[in-house]
Amino acid sequence: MQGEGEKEIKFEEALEKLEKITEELENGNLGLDEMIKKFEEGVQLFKLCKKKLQEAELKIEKLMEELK
Amino acid sequence: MLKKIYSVGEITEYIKKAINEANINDVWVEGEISNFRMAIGHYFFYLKDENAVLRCVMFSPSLPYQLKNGMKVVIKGDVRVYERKGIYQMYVKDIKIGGVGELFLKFVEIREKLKKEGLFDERHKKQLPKIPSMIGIITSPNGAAIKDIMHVIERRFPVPLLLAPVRVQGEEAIKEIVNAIKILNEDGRADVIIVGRGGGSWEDLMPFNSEEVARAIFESSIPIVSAIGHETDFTISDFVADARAPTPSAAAELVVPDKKDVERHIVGIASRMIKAMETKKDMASNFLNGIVNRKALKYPYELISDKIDECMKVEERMIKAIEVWKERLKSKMEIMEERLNSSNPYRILEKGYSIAMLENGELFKSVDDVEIGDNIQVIVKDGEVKCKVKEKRK
Repeated sequence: MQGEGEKEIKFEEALEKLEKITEELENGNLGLDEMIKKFEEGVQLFKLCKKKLQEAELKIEKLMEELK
Repeated sequence: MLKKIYSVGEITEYIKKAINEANINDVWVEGEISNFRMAIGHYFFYLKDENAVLRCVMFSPSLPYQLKNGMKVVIKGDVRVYERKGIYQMYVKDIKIGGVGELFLKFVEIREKLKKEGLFDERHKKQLPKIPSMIGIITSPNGAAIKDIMHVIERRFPVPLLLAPVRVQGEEAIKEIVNAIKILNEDGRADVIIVGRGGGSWEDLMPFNSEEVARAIFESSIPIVSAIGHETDFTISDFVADARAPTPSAAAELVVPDKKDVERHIVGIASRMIKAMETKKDMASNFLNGIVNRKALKYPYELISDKIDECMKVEERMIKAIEVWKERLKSKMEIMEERLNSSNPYRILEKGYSIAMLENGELFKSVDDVEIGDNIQVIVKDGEVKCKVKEKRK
């Protein structure tokens, strides 16, 4: 009854990070190298978000059988 | 005893005034319903106990349950005189079913106490996650609430649900709900919790009016959305929860956004990101072109050709200087040679002169240097001759 154990980034965190990176990119204060790095990170996050959205499904887990 | 004879209207007016002055407003009365009837949407009934009967009227009631004769209720209202019928009656504003009189008082007491303690204060309200990664649900596993919630979440944005099955009414409910909140907090995976149940009588909702559940909700570090009963039901849990939803379905809508909106949002961000990148790329390539088109990179030889020219000129000048110097040296040497040659005593031999020397090698310069019979030496251009002095004259 425990979770899958893998501690991956949450959707909301990924989205927040993506938003932050986009803002940084839009500010344009970064050097090209850094921008490319951030952009690549952003693309990864975007893919992750898309993937999570597509994979989203209703999973139901019952907690605490011991309650009753 | 009465000196004046009153009209019915006058005496009724007098009674009405007396009752109004008694200020029987917003009082709670407990009793049993009898003679219940409905007419044009209004309720008329008697509230009675073993000692007395109170006429009651309730205009346009909207109750989630049907009143029946014999029902034990607590009503709230104002007592007024109805002149035309010569009666006093209670104009009912609120009805609670069952032996809830005490319960209701307790509800008010707890509500006021927790309010005073600040449990309902806005500043304690936690923000719900924009998109939860897991939703904890505390409700009955068999109720309508869980089905409604699952249905809405599946439609809007499927997210894993962590069910904490509890009883939602009766004695055990309070303990189970409190425990469920605690366990979900310990588990920590859910980042928002819905606590709720479908509609029911006011008594059915009592666990959600308990101080224990209210405090458990308050102490939860995971934000809690209450979804208890119907729109019109307000429980203490609703006041203390971080957000109140009028129904379980509404709670589900509150905790997850619509997937399509999120998708649009993400795509919007991605295109913003790409645009920012393209802008930077354009800037960078403009900058790069600017550099590439500079003279230094485009015609690098031009930059040093001047230097080469300069070097060559210097070299030429050096060569010339050396030539001049050599020339000068040469003529100087020639002059010196000339001078050397001109002072060379043997040079006269070339011209046909000869040099005479004494036997001891000294130059023969005077008649007095020799005697007759002495040997002398005569050097000419191509050799030397030995001679003997025959005579001398002066």
